[in-house]
Amino acid sequence: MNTLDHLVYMANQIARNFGTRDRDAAAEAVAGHILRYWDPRMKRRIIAYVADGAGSDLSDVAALAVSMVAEKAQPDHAATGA
Amino acid sequence: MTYQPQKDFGTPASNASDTVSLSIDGREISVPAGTSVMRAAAELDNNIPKLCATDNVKSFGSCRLCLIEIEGRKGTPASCTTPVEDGMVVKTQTPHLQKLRKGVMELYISDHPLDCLTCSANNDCELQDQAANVGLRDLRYGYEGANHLGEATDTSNPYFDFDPSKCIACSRCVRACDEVQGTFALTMDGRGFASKISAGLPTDDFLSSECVSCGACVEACPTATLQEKAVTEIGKPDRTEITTCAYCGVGCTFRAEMRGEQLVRMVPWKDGKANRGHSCVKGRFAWGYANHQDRITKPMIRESIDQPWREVSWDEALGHAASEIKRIQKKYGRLSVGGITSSRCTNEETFLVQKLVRAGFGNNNVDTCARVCHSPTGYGLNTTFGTSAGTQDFDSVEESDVILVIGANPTDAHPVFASRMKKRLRGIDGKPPAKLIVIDPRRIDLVKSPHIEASHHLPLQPGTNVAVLTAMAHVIVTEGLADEAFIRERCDWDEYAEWAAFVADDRHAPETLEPVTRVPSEELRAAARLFATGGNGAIYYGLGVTEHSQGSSTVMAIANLAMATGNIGRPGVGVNPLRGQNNVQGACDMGSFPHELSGYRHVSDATTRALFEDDWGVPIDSEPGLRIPNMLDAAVDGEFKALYVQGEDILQSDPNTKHVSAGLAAMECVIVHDLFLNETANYAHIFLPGSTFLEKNGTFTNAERRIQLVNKVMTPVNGMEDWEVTQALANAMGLGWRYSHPSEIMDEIARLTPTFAGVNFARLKEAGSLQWPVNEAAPDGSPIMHVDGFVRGKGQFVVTDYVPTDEKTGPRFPLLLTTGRILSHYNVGAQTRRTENTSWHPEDLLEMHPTDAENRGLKDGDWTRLSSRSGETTLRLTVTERVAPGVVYTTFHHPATQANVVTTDFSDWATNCPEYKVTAVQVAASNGPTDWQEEYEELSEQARRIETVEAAE
Repeated sequence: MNTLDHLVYMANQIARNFGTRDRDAAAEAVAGHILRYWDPRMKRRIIAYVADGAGSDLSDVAALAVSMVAEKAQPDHAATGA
Repeated sequence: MTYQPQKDFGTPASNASDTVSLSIDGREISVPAGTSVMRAAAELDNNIPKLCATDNVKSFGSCRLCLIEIEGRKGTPASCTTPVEDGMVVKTQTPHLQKLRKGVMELYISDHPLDCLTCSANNDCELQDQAANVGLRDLRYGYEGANHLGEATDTSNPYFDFDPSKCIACSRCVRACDEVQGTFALTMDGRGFASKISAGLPTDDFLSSECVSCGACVEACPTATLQEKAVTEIGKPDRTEITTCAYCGVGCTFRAEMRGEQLVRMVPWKDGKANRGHSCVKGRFAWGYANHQDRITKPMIRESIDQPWREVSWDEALGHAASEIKRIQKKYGRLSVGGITSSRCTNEETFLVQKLVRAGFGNNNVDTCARVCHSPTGYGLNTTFGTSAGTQDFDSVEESDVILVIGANPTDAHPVFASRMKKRLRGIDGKPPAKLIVIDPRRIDLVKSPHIEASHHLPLQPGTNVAVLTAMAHVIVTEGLADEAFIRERCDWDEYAEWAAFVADDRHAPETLEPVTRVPSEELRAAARLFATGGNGAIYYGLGVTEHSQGSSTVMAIANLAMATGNIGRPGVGVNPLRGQNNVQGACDMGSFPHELSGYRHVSDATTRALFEDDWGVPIDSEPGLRIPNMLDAAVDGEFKALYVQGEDILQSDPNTKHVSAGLAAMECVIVHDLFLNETANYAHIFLPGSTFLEKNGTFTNAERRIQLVNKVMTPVNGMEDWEVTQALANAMGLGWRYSHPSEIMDEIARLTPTFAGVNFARLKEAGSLQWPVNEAAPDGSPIMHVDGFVRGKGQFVVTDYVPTDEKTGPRFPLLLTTGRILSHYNVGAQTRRTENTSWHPEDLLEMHPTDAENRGLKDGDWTRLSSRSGETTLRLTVTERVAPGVVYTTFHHPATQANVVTTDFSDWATNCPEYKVTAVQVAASNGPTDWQEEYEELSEQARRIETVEAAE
């Protein structure tokens, strides 16, 4: 698995583990998890993947979660990594 | 001070709270009821002569040496078997007693060699001492009669010898094997004059017998009959230092017995609160790696990994490392470098490595080997209880009524605690035995061993832990067995109600899940009922819980079960992760994870960051860093370029070896700080030699949250303790650190970490050990957690839905591989493979059920090829019913096997802890090593070359 595939896999896997919650609550939990545990570049890659319109391999909940992450992530930090 | 063995009170201490007063030789003493007269006298430093009594085992009353007189009583009872009584008046020395004792000693000595001067126990022999104490001067019997002298010595065990001609048949070794270790390997064969100690069948020697070489018999032996080979070779030690073992998470404390700077033997310390005077083959004997010829003692560098290593000065190595890190950060960015802390190093060393990364590298790219073992414990217990640690001390097991062991094999991986657990399961001291439930795909030794039998063994399909635990919860909730009073008081009732409704659903019934779990539903129901209704229920778990794609869910499911049955917050209950490495708990506590600072505080918390920023004078990044697998991904992508690895061998220990090697190969600077050129060092550019636990000061924290001192007993052969190496690297980068002793690092940890606020070296020395939290609320530490309420406030029930792993069996890979450890080896074997422990386990073996073996035309001892979707390796087969049909098992101790070539990239959903325990595989006959094994061996040989410098003319 390359890194992007791995990130997509991880996001979907987290979403599956919150599968008993309703869509919004699950997405909220997944987004919270990603914000808390993923490093800035991992967030940036998955956000870009969705922004590019190529996010089709993400489950519905995972995709919604990534859009929530995009709103909350620290843009400066994530963008530069410098 | 000259050498003294630790004081032996003759019989075990009594736990009774009421006291009894008596007079011994005219001196008054009060002792707990149930104490023996022998022990009461020893408390007064009145050491009644004895041979068959020792305080690690129950009194036996066979040697007839410890006789006493009691006013108003006839005869001369044995003081070891006589309990104290109020008002008792005891005499330990009278002419009559003296005569009796001398007579007894005469008989002993008439059948004992008189080679004291050349005996290995000379001056450290209880028989010799007692002969002196009773005034033995001559023997009326002579030496010509029948005797046991001149019998052959059994030298088969690599660490100790058994010389039957020096045996006095006191049976202390047999009783230690039974009572302390619980293996029941030794026995007293024959009767009367023919009595002799036997290690099993007449054909057995110590090595071929069931003996696990724990050393309890050697420790118990009053003569030179069972003697460490090292003492025979070197001589009697002359000084001792208390220190903490660096193997598993039990954290045994030992007396390192020294002669000069030479370690003679490690003797378990009876005052150690984790091990209570017991040990295993690793801690007791397997320390020879410290002086192994493979130790690298000088720093080395090379431009690229195809070059040989070049020995350089510390200044050159550290200067080069610092300039490489700076160069790489300048070229690829601040986040392109990181570090890995070691769960084998001390708290202080670990703290410095993460400080170097956060304060020196300016990012949070720090992780630790706990990533691949207990990271789900941190996540799961923090979520449910509010603290990332086990809830009990080891003593707690003595109060348990039902013990549930899931995904752990304590007799192999945590042997000293296993012995304590087995003691409880045998129900000695009048208490009925605790009941045992084992949930494990393999029939581990605990399921059935001498005097122990599990009430229920649930041999589940690997990967179905959550399904099994949810089914147990289903039974408890639907049959009305939940402890609702506890839940109402301690937990959020609405959360419980939601969870209870979830587990009560029919799809979680044991009958519904049976096709998935393969656990007979009636057995599962019975186990659940027993756990819920059997009294104090304690759960012990290991890596068979965490190393799954649902590792974190399983930890939370365990926590749910404990809360639902009210089994939290008092002795005898609780959730107990059995930690793999000696300082996994400590490494996690010290802020080794990329998302949190010491004491489990998230880096996004501005208040916590401010505390560190003020103390360290640098900004702390508010974003989490990379975890080990993410570092390797980023390296393959060309974004992560330098790594400082202290005391961990990620190439051998981490899953999917090919991915790890690709990641390492893509880096421009890999700095390995270790004892040996380990497998990771094959990909390293800078090697910084490390020091062993015997060569350093510091602290380890064991699975009970117990912080214990590690004391330096010899000078580091590499010249520096590991914390000094990290400090020198930090200073080469211009950080200006000025620690002169690890105690100063602990002071900094205490200053910055609320749960460690009351910890310092002086207090640790005074108290022997402290269990965190140690602070104003708990000045003496916290043996049991969540006593009056959960750390997080209310305990949180978390719905854990069973999500099957994506690692599926199919026609190409029909079997499930699960991996684990064996008693004689530790983790990747870097230490134990460099000791005589290889006598027991020279290679990794593949366990397979007879049916599966027969279907493949394989037999015991055959070379087999083990392949998965990730890779393949070859190893020898053991056919055994320990594993269920469809499941195979192996260990990962030997680099030649590289079991992790076969394991996959799948990992825990919450923490990325690898799914070591489930890999779909196929096994077939093999006629030689795989291409990978051959290529890797060649690469290892190339990568380990060290340039020899020609001597100057």
